[in-house]
Amino acid sequence: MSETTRQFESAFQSLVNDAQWTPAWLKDLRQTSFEQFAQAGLPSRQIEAWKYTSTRSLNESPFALGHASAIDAETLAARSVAGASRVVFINGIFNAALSELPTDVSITDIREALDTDREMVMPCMSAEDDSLVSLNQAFFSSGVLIKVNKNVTVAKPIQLLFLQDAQSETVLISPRNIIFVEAGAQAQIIESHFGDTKNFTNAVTDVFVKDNAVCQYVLERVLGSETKYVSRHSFHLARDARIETFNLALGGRLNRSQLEFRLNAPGASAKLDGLYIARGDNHIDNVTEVLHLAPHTSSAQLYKGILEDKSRGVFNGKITIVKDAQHVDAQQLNKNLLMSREAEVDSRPQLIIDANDVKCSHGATIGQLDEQELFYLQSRAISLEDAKRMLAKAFIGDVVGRVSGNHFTKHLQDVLQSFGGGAQ
Amino acid sequence: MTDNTNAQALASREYKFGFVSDVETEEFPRGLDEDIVRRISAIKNEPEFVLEFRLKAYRHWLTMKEPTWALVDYPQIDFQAIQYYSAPKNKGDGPKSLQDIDPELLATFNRLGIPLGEQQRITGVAVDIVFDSVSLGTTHQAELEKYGIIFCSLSEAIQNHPELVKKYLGKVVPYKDNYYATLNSAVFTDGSFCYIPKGVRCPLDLSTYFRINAAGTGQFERTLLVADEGSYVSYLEGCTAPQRDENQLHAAVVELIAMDDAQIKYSTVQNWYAGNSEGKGGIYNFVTKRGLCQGKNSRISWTQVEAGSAITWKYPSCILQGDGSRGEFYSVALTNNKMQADTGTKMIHIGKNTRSRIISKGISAEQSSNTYRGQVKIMASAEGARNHSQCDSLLVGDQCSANTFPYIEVKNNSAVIEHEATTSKISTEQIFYLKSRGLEEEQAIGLLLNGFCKEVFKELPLEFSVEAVKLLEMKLEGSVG
Repeated sequence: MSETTRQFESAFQSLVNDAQWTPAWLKDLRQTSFEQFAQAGLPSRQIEAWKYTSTRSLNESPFALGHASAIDAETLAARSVAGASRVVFINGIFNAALSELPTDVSITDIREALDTDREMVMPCMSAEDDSLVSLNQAFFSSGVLIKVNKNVTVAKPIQLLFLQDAQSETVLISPRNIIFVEAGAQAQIIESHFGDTKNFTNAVTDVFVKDNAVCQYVLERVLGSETKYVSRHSFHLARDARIETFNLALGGRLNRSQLEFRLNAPGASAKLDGLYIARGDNHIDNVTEVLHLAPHTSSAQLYKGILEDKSRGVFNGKITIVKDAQHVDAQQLNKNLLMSREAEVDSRPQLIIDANDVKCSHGATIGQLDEQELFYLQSRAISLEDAKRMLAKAFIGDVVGRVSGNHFTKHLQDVLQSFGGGAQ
Repeated sequence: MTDNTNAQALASREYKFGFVSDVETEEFPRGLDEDIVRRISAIKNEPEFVLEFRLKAYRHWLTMKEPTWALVDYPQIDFQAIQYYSAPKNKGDGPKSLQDIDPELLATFNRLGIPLGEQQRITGVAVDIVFDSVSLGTTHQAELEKYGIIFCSLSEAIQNHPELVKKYLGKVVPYKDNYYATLNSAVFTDGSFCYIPKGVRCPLDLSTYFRINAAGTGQFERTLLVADEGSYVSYLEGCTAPQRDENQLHAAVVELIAMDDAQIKYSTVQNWYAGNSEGKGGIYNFVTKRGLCQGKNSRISWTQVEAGSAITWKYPSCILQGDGSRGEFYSVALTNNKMQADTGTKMIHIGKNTRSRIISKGISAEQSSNTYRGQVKIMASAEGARNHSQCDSLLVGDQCSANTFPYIEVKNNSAVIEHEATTSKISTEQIFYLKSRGLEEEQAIGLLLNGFCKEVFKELPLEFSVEAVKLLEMKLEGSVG
């Protein structure tokens, strides 16, 4: 056991020794995964993908398992997307009473699914070289398996709502979601994480979008200044499948998402939009990896960030086009606005291209608010603060405008409003 | 569209600088230990401080590991199989003037198109010639002396101007810098030294020509260029090597220092032997080049045309320390056959209102791999810094790869940074259009390439610019279609 993984040890022991969370047949998987994690340790900054992000904040105190808890109706309403079905988790534990499950989709608890849908779920549980995925695999106790059947258009968006309630200990929350959108089906999923605690969420999600299916996926994290969150999402796209993602990151001591898109067959396309706003000493790290594994695939990404105070934002975007994946169109753009002297941003847009008949471009900009624009607004009797806010709002306007689905648009406005700061 | 016979013609095309000169040489045995380092120092009759610098570097090198992060693939280098010193044997006490140089050597440089003899000098260019481990001679020295410019080999500078060398050696690239720079610090054999005094605008383009000739050697030269206040110099560098089946290591260090208001323009046309079409042989070009804009409003610009070497691993960088200083990087990197290039730049902004510009054009053909890797770092102190980077890649053929890895780190909100990159192939529509206007396909491609690289070529001094265009056209002949 390395020094960096010691703080997970006691929580792990209580988890494996509890038959409710660890049935006998699950014990092996958990044990092996934990050993793999212990061997590798938390990712260090020596690893290229973690160059700008430190996991030091995870070493501060030992982690405990979450307890079931309640949340008041007002908070729940503020965080739910109106008009959506919802699956509510509090401190990582499923809460049936607060959930409103849809009728046209099959949703199963992930541990149950390991038993009932073994052949679907087990292939996702593989040993990986990502130590945090191993950690999730050792600890996962919540999450869902969603199956959208062939040619079904799901009527309402499905919100996976992860809420947190302050406990005396620092809780480790390990959601594990697996989603199948079968051929010709359409679904909108909203994965929301809200928390203003010291907790650490380590989420892993796999989404399979089959032939001709369309999936809209929103990943939303609104975190307090002490809250830690890391996740890895893999989107597997089949022929003519389409995925549209919107990745919203607000706040967080450590707020890192890693989205991997595997465009496995011709015609697959991915849209990646992202918005991040950090302030105080928040640290937000966005990793996207688009793998064009087949010809005639396309991807477009736009990530925008506003960095205030002493915060730090990172964008790590990688587009890979493998040999023979001809006629690929891949675009990537990252724009950052630095609102304060001490804010920092590190942008790393990367292209790895092994095919020749492709159209590929990327861009990154880092700048500040235009002085002339600020002056103009002030000369029109708008205060400096208001002028800054207006320009910041305009800066993120296009990416916010790209979000489709009326249900979520309203929710997004509310969330930005209550987060406040430059983007109100 | 690719014409196979054309491609084959390209593959079998001769590297025109691939000949070996039969020159008697003085060599050290293969291998590296402290004794070799001391012997290099002794044979050059170096003062104590240089030996100390070498030994510190050598001892540090022993503790270092070879870097593996670059996107290049090659068998492990056996550093004990390399000869660290090889010099043409002097007749008598060594050449007192260019007339004393071995006629075989003069013939070699004539074949390379570099007339060494003063009588046939190229007007306006002073040349320092580095052959394997030593500098053979420098032209135009007398004329430059009139202006107080010191332009000579580093060994001569160590003998004649030790105070300057001591002051600046290792200042920009410290001996601990990186694996190959540290190795170079321990075993560097020669290179050019140039000092431009205050307020002098160097009337000639200065130039160094590097030639690896002996088999089994590595070339470790070190160039040190200091431009004092308000001075200007344009410096050119060219290189070739014989065609051999083994890989040879070239690990050079170039240090530039620009004081207040000084300007250095450093241009390279690199055409080391790149190996044959199976990727056998060729030079490993692992070079550390760095410029320090120490003074206010100083300016350093790197222009490079990288068309040779089996592997290129090179990041000419600028440290923009002085307020208002400027760094520029213009690069065309062409890879074909099985060549691998991982090249780019670093712009470190420290001073206020510093500006940098990066234009990188990568062309990859056949089975080659071409990577741009660059860093733009804006430190908290760099108020008002500005950077614009543009990296375009052109893919020729479906077996090659083009990668772009920019690192942008900004710690100051007054900075404005733009980075853009594109990757595409030569458009068949453009070729079609030009052909419909009566151009041959080859001409059309030449024209398009020229257009693609124009922003870089226009930064090159005239005679280099012509050479560079020809070099690219020749290298790509037959591989586009």
